[in-house]
Amino acid sequence: MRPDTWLALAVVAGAVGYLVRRAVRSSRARRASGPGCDACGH
Amino acid sequence: MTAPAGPARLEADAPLRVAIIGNPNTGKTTLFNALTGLRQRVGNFAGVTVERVEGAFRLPDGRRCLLVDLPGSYSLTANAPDERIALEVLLGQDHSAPRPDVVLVVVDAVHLDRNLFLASQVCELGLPVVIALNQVDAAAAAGITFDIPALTHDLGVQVIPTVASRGEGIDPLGRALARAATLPPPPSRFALEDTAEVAVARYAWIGEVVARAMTRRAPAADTTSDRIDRVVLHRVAGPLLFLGIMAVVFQAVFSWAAPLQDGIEALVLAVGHAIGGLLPAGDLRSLVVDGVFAGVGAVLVFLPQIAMLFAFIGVLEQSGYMARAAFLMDGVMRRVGLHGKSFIPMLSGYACAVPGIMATRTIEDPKDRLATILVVPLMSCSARLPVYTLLIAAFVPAVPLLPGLDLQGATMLAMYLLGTVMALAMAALFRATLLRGPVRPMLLELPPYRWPAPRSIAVTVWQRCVVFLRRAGTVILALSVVLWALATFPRTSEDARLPEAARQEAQLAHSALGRFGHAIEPAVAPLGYDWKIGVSIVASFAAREVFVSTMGTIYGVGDAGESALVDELRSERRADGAPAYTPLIAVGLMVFYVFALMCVSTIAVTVREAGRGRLGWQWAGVQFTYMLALAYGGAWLVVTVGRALGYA
Repeated sequence: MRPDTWLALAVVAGAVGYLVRRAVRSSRARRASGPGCDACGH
Repeated sequence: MTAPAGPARLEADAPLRVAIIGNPNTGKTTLFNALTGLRQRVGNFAGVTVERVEGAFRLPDGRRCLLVDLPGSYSLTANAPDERIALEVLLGQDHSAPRPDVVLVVVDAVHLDRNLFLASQVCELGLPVVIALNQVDAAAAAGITFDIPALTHDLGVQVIPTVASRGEGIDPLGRALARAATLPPPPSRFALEDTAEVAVARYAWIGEVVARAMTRRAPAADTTSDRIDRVVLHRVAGPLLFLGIMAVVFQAVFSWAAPLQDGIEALVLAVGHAIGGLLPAGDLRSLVVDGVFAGVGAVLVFLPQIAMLFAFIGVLEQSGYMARAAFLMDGVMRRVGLHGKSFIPMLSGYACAVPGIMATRTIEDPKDRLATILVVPLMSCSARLPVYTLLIAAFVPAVPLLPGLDLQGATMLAMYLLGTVMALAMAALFRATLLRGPVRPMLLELPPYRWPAPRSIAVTVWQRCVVFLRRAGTVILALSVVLWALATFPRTSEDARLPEAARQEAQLAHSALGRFGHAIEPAVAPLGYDWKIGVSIVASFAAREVFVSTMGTIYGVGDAGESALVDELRSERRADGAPAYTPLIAVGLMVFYVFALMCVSTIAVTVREAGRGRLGWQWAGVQFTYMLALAYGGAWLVVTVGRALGYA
């Protein structure tokens, strides 16, 4: 694979990692203090 | 009910804990914001604050003060969930927060007699009390004057006149709070037990206090609010005016925001071209242009619509019109078996279902409350706005209908009304089946009309815009990158003889996204959708706006902007040459989005508010399932009936 493909895949892996970490964190936070809305900040 | 022991002995360096309580809509949160410098949501109607909110500030003596804003309550005999929160904090029964050291009671100067009922109950809790006599400007305008020393003497607590909205009286109030912590609690006059005899004696005492400390000029027969209400609450003119206001709001959201939207699109295009030009052709450039700019840029252009929607909601909330809308809808609400109070949570749902569901805490009856929770997500929230706007811009012509209203604005209004009507219909169904119970009458306080504070509305709009931008720069960005990867890999063996468009189409069909889309296509085919729409719908279960960004990625509009996406949708063809998107399919798709529950936060708040544990999950399951069935059935009905009538 070309170097820029590796770089693009690294960005994708980072995005997946971010989404997974966010899902885990928000499920913990919701258990602790209730839900909030990402869309409007409530 | 018995008063517990007084506050714990104060340590010298411990922050002073002050709880704010008062009747609904007396300006508690405005005072909280003025004292702490925070920007909690305020509104000119009862029930804006439904949970405990904390903020800190320094008292004039340099000591740190922790201020707890509590939901409004008419008495310490709590019926509704939000009132119970206030009572538990004051009695020290809230295990997550220590009992306050001082209670700040906010009373509305215009309605002192009624507000003193709660104040006199709080004075018997054995805690030091300070009273903020708020809105003294409105009282002065109504010809009401006060003898503050007499009031202080009779109540046995410090009374500080304030105008929280203008920050007047804030410094004296801070000094009074610092001093109150060193003073003994006020004397107890009545038992805290809630018996009719005690209530009668309490009201008699309040009457004497008010007679000594308040002078009222003969009230004007007709206030400005009365004159406005004669039109706004008129049996015929009132509902028409309500519809007219809604039409103006949605027409404005659609067309007035267009120039700003064009500006943002031009900016996104310029940045996209610049960055795309710097990168050599390859996967990284494709990721940036077709993933990031096509995905995030497609959502970002809707920022003006979001800002305008929240500005209008802010004006309606702060002017006092929200309470009138609830009053107008009371008859309809009763006919569907809901309490009139339910309409305010439903109206809040136009902004977001999460605060809408939280606002149901003001409803005393559990069945009324549950029915409202179940239907609030049917009110179209701001996250649906980008989907409606994209589809209307692509498939609904701007044919003028009335002065100031064209078919695009009317279509937007129709989507919001469809959600509202369906919410009422489903509420009627729930109240007649799973949640059967008596319909209770509504007692609603109509606040006086006030000019909305431009700064407060600007702050609200700014906060919402920041949240929207943050979301575009995080979740939607990450999802766009992932969707780009799914649309790009695995690669097909490209036939160099094929034209570019055909090669891209073959690659998309061969990709993981394409394979998944083709696998689910039979499920969405009855709705007239191809696999691309199916994939976009599935992706938007993460966030509704992702429908737009997925479309941007699938159609590879890259740095060409939202107008290019609209053109792509209009010109897209199926394998048989028929248009993939027609006005009929666009309407069906919008109906799907009106009804579908695609919001993890809403599901989570339903789980919590409908009953913790398994019960909450069960009701959330009922909510998700019935809304999905409505979405699928509604979209199918639109397409089937439309085709039967000869539409494509």
